[in-house]
Amino acid sequence: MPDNMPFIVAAFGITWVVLLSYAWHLHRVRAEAQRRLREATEALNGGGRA
Amino acid sequence: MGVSTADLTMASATQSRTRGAWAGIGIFVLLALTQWIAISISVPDRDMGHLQKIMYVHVPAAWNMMIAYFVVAIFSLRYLWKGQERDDLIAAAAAESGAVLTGLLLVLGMIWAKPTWGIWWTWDARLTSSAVLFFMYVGYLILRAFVDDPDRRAQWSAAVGLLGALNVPIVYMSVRWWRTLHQPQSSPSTVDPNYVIGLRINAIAFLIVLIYFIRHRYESAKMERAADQLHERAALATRGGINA
Repeated sequence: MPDNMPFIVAAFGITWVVLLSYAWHLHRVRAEAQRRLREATEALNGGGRA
Repeated sequence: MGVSTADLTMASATQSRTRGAWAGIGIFVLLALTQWIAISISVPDRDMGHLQKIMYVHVPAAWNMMIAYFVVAIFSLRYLWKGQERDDLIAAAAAESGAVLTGLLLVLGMIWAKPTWGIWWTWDARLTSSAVLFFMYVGYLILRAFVDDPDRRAQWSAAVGLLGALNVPIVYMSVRWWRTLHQPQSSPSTVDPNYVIGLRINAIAFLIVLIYFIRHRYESAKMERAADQLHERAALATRGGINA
């Protein structure tokens, strides 16, 4: 096992946790923005479409 | 029954979201691949041993943090010059992504510092200027969260964005201007040739991740603004109906 293995694993592990967490956050922000856009579209069209 | 502009916007947003999710998966697979290649081909460093491998995440995070702030500066300047909302939204998207990379950079630096220097943190010029940069951009994001008026928010954040970007050359040059514990800048011309390919491919993979983050955040911000504008139009239409 390489010397200082816990530090190497921590560095790569934290990198992945941070990048994937932010990507997931962006995905949720986008979903929320899309939901708001849909609601706004419906509000403009009078609350519903036939 | 006609198809409105708003419906078309919704349809393209849904399509774009699906494409974005697949692009994200592809980009992270690419990042995993470049890290695996770099770790596989790099021999242990004479002084640091395998600890050198942290360079493949720490240095790309640093370079791309600077690129993100360069984008903030360019689009902040463009906003102040032309006053277009698009430039403000791109600057904000780059600032958020850059703040994430700077936070990551600081944590990775601490993880590398402990076994190398024997301490997690020191008030060295490079570390301190990087921390200042991180807090300046956290301040930028807080400012955006607290100012409601879009024009005022864009103007103030453009000014803060430009001010914060002035710190980037200080961060970069700090290891030359002051006597620091931090080593000189790592670049393909200063590191051992064994590590150049690993460093380059990981820097490119991080750059692709950064572009993906900025684009994704910008598109969401655009949809949020479109939703706000549609809500305003709906409110005006309702008020017009009541008044009539």
